[in-house]
Amino acid sequence: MRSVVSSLVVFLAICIVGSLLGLAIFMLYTHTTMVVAGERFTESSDVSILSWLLYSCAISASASVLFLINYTIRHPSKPIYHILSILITSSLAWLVIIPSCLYGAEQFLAKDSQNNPKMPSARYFRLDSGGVYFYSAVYPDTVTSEGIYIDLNNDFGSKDGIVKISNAPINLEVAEPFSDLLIKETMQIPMAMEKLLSFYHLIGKIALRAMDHGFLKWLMFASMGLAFGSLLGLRRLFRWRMLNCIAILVGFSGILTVDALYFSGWNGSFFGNFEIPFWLMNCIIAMLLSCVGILFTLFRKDPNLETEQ
Amino acid sequence: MKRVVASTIIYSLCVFIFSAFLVFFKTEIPELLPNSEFAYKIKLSLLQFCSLLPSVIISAFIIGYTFMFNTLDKPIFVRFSPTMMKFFKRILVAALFGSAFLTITYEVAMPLLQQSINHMKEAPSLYSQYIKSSERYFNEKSYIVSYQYAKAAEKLYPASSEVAALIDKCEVSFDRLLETSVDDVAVDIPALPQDEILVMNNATSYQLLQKAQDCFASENWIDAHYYSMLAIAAAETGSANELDAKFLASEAWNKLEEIGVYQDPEVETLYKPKMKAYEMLVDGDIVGAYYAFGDLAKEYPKDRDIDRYYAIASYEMQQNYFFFDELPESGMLEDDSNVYFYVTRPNGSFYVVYIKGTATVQDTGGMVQLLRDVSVYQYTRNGNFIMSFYVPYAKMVALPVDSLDEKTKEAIGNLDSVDSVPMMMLESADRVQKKEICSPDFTFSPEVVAAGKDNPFSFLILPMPYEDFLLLKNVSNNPDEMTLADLFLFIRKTANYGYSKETYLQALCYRICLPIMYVAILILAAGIGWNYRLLPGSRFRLTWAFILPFLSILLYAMLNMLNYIQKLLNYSMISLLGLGALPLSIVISICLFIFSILTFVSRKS
Repeated sequence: MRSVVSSLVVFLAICIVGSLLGLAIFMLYTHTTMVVAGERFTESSDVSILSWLLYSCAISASASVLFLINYTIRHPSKPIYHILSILITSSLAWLVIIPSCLYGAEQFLAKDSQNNPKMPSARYFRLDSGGVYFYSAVYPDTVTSEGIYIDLNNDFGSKDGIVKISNAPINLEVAEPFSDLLIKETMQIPMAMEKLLSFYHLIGKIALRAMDHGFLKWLMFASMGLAFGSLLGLRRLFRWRMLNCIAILVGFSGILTVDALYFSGWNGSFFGNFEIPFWLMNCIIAMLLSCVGILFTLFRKDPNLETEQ
Repeated sequence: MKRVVASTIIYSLCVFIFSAFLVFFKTEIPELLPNSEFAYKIKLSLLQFCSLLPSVIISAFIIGYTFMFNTLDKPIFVRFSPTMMKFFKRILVAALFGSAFLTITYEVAMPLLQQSINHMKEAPSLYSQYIKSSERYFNEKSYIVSYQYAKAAEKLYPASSEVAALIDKCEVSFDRLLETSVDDVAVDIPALPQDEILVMNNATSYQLLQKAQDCFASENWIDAHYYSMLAIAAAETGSANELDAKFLASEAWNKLEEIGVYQDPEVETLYKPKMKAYEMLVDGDIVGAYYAFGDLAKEYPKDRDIDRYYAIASYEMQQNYFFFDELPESGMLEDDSNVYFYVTRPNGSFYVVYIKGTATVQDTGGMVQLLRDVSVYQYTRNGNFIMSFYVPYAKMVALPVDSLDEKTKEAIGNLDSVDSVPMMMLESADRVQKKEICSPDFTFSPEVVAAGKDNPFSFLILPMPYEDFLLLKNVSNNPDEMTLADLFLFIRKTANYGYSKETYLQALCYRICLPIMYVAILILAAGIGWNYRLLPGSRFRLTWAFILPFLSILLYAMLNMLNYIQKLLNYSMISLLGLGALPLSIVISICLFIFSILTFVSRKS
């Protein structure tokens, strides 16, 4: 029983730490998008902190199962307790925490989140599309500039390799989502992060839609949580703890990928024969993994136990 | 620990082979000079392997540690136990070595490889530029210059038949030159003795007058005239010295003209052109005098006057112009290309300078640079265009601040602590043949023309320390390509020259904290290795080795994400704290390091 309670504590800790971490990263990101070379930072962003805190909480709650199963691998006890822990925490996460967080986040979202693009500062060299821009002066009223463009690849064929800019319009969008091209160049978002973020963006929209359509629809959406929870069945797959953890991770990514396919339009048909709806697919996965788990529990000793004790 | 090291090495080799495989069969190679493909592919494989190296090493360490802790027979019951402390010593050493290795890869190996790859990518275009220049100079009959460019192209691509043909052509032309006229070979320009230069520049009008009088007394009319002209220039207007010097000058001139009248025919053929050349010198037509004396020196090599005044004319010439065949003498192969920066003058206006290529002249300690394709744009304080110029060749020298007069010092600003400033000489001449002086192409704004201030000039002094120019040559758009030392020196001056302090400081923070972060991560790896150690009684199955690539991929993704978040943190700190962000980020890294140590030694069963 004690292990169930400690699992709950761990779950709570994950949600809290996760939300704070997510919020911190988001605030750092917003701050960085407003940095312009050479200008002191004056504006404070008008994004709603509470909203982002709740979003981060929802994301941590959905990913918490990963850490919790890992916790049961590192601190094994009786199988029934493990099942109980995962059951309770997953229900809590998917039926209580995630819906309320999403609902709350929508309420607190800043209504006027218009981004006023910032003017680039003058007297800096900015590399862009094969050449270097240098603005000697920028005019915010007309969004134009004076300066030179150093044509490194000699695309314009001028004798000295320089094109004079006079009263030329400035492209403010070139640095998006940042405010300064110089910053943007150094901040290439890693591929994994980009995929994860776009996935969660998509899943958030779908979750909200499901919420609007009533409890049954939400349950169908929450079948994803059921599939995640059933990853517990992979706990005893290998004789080495590390491999078990990696297996859980691989399983998690697998389920995420399948669900992402659904979100981007797949209708669950194999060979064009029959369609498997989203919730059914998740239930099938859950059943398969549970069977694996039950088999292994019955026929194999828990390899995660430290035998020297 | 042996298992840790062994597994790391074996795994690294496998990953290298894998990356080499990818490069050789799956990557598109850009256009290169022939015979350089294999070297390029090997370097690219190494570079890609180096970028994977951190995740490779960390994952190998983790797995290695899971074996190592397998050997533990007694369980550990308390946190911070002595057994863990003992382990910790070995782990710390391993982490330090691992971190040092990764840092050296990142700071030394990767930039070298990247530079080499960049050179190989640029080589074809550079090669065709050299060939074009060589042919152009050949057509202009500057055979020496053409030859130097051809040699430079040969260095890039030794097996080229095109280059061999060019070199042959040049050598034939040399021979032809020698054949047609022995006398047409360029004469060595005599050097002006040092004390003569001192006299010309520093002597007072009285001293010069004395010298003139001495020469007059020994019937050396031409020297007497020359020194008295110098005395007139050095004297105050209306002073007694000036009057005396003027009188002496006219006397000496009369004497010279007398010789012209009473002379034998042999002397006469020499006399007329010599006087003509001398008149050009005295009238200020340095260029004319230089070439005139040059021609005379070829014909009359033994004439003392010609020698002396040829030396004086060349000295004056080199004060105002440089010879553009000096460019290849610097040993070719430009050491930096595409240098650009801006520099502000005390009155608020600023110059924007763009130099396509720079070459350091050998044996000058970097104090003399030859610049190719220089463009300078000048703007007012508010950013309105004033003037611009373009010159194909310029010479930059380090001008000592002490040698400047007050007016110039004022114009370039308060540079008390500065030794020397860069001065660009913009007009160049051919050393031997009388050709047009190559001078800059000016453009002035309509306002300047209307105000009548559109005067071309032939020198430009940049109001900045000379060392900053040398530093700016090494500045690259990507701060990761600069050495740490250069980055340190540059960090305070970035915005003064048009570079963003934020990006360079961020790169500096990241690179300084990198070794500390790696040590912390490698110690955490030991902690993870402990948590997931192979329990005694279980054997390691070989099929389990497939976990390594998974782990590496996972770690690679995580390291990238960590890197991104670290950059966000750095930018936020920099925008709030400026330069203070650097010590703060070091403190944060050290805290992480301490955290990782505590995490490890607190492990228990």
